[in-house]
Amino acid sequence: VSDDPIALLERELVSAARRRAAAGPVPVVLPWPRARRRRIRVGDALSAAAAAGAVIVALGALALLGGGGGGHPASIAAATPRDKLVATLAVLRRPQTAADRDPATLRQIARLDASSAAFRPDIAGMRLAGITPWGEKVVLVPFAVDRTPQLLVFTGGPLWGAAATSRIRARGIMAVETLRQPAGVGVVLVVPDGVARVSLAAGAQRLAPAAVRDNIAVLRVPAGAAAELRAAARVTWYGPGGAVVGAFRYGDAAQVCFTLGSSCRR
Amino acid sequence: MEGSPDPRTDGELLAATVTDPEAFAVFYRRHIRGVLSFFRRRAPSAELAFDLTAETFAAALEATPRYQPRPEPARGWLYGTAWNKLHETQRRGHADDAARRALAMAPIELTDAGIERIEVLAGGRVLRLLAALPADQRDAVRARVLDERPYDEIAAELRCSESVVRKRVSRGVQSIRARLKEAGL
Repeated sequence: VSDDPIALLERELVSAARRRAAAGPVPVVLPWPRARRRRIRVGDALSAAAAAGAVIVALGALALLGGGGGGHPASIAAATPRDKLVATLAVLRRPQTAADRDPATLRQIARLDASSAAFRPDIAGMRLAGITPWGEKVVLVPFAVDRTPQLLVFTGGPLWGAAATSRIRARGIMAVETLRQPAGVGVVLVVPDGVARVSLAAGAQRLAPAAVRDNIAVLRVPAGAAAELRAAARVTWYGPGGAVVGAFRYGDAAQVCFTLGSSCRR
Repeated sequence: MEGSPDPRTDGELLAATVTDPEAFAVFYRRHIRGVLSFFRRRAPSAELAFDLTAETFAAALEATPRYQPRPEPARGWLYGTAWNKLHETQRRGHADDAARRALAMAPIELTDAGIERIEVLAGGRVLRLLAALPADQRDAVRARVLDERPYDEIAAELRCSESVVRKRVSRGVQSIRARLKEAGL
């Protein structure tokens, strides 16, 4: 056993690189989601049409039986990981408009895309989910890292949140940003379908529930509660009928942000 | 473990790794201190910080066949991977080793001397001294020096003036320097 783990790790990495080089070129994987595209033949199209018809019939039967549950698409079985993400958030299922392709967000995406071969943004999937009271656009961008679909939320400020589908279903995404005028903390929460209102408590502060629209809720927290909020916010989700459908502590550990430099702040 | 004199950019090194394994060693030596410090500031122990560092570099190596050089620095790509590893670990409650297993890398056993080496390289001693500062100085130094936040923002959060924040940062940094000097560092 050597006493220098740094040198040992370098040796292991170089050995692994040598093994890979000796094994020959690795097949190039097409970027997500283009890798899933394939040529559609007449027979496939007919099969797809038949399958779609079956789904429509099944959904119709569910509606007649009152099994729609207020339209909770997240409960519909999804075929692919990306479909599961889209099935979780209604805002991703509406048609994309020109406003959804926010130029400032596209520039930020381009910077991330350029710096990471593993980052695969789904530009056709991006949606402008709303504008905060302090004037920042909230843009949701599906992307994939190592072919695992996730969702990025850009708030226009330096902080972005990101999470995979399972995380969004369990806790959503919370993006926190320090506001200057007036001083305080802006909080943007992305929640799955079926959540109608969100309340937030940080330290001694308990804020009135905020309504959810297009899967996002926006809250403003007084400046004094910023530290408590970053350390341990308590989030409660309410369903359309007012029942609590989720309650958890959303601590520092739950946040993630991507950075091109060293100034990424949580 | 300072920067390498190799004139190639990080992106060029990553692209060259597929045919020149030594190129990844240069990339590793350039960034090991930064990545290790990144994790040490966020992980409760030197062992976990090293574990996450190893997994991050392994994931980077695994991704090199797909990497295409761009004009922008590849450093952001590496730290994006590091953030993902940190996030995964916080979510799962333990560090993953999928990339290292995929590369058939042997586990590295840490000795006390090895842990000390990690602490020195990652600035762990400074972090321990920071934790020992009075709370007001510790919060100010952490917000300004580690998180690189502007003074006015820190002042608003701590409910004091900017000049008070500056004094706390200055006293905290002086205190840490003095203790490092006492320890002969």
